[in-house]
Amino acid sequence: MDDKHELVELMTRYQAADRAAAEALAAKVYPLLHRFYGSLGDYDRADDLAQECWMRLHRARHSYRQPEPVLPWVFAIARHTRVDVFRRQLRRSGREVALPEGADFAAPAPEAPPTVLPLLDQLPASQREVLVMLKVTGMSLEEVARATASSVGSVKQKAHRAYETLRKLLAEAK
Amino acid sequence: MSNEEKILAALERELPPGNPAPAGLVRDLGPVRPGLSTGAVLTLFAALLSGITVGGGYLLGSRGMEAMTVAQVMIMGALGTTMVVILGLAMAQCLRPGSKVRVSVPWASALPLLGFLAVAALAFPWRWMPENFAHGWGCLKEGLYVALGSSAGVVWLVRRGYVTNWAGTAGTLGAFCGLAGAALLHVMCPDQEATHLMVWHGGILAGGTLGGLLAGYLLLRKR
Repeated sequence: MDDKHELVELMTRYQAADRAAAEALAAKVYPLLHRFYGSLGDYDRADDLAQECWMRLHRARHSYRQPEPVLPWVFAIARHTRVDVFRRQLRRSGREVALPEGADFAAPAPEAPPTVLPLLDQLPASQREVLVMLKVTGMSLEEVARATASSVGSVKQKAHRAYETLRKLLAEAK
Repeated sequence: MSNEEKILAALERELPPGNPAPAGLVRDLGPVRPGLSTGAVLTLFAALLSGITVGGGYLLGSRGMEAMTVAQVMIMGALGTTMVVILGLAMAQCLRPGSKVRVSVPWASALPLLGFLAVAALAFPWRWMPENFAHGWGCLKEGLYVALGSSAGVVWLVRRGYVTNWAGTAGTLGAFCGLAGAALLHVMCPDQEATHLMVWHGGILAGGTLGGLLAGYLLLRKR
């Protein structure tokens, strides 16, 4: 049984209140969620976001229907969780974002080797999200399109633009 | 290795590892019924619209049907069916995160109004008279009452899904309720004239959709 079919099977058993299936699903999905949030720049809050997302997945488990793919369902809710949490924090803290103590505004040292991950932060949110979903979770274009409620063409375009921008940024950093 | 592959390889190397699931993540397990299928949502929408139109027409009179030609009845029937399918697909999409995108939700909310205006302008005669125009307030009020009443029938749908797009969902529901109000009024109202239809009957569709969007916005603000 491949991974995608296994997820469908686990999800169906989870809906029927099978504890072992729920734990197996959490073991498979949680690291992906953690990596997803971590890759989007929420490094410090990745655990909190992943737990909040899991709670929402648990409450929304009735909205999944077999045999639809599980990952688009998971990541549609994961995106929504991130936006909701961000919006909530923005409301709480007004429109100001507090900077961490001793934040360093200096440009990186020229001899520092260029790395891709910090460059991800410079991509527009929608492109970064698509790239991370494609590469971190191994979702197909069709699955990413479902998770982001857009078309396959739009996902392809965003991924292509993200590669282009990364390539330029890397060339500039060298 | 192409540039793209190099970028992806570097990305893969540098991405943070995903933490394993913490202990005690799975609690309070209970069986749940899977949400409604797309077919079920479509059937429900079709049944509601038919029920409201046929039942309302039977109880409150069908002078509007008598005033229309066979061709107009068929055109309006086709429009109603098309709109129910589009709104049903959009609703099913809104209720199930990660479902296949079959229709654009914002367009689905706007299409009933646009379609109705186009059909009213093209398939109905233009015989504008000030007194007919003024009598439209009653039509608008009745239609909005029906739209409001039918919203009670569809709001429970939201509980059978998980909404990630409140504005889209509420706009779609509002458009459907407006469609129900406009459809019943079309059966009841004897004034089948283009201006009257576009302004007052179209106003029900516009009011329903805007009401839905407003409700969605307020719900979103509460979260």
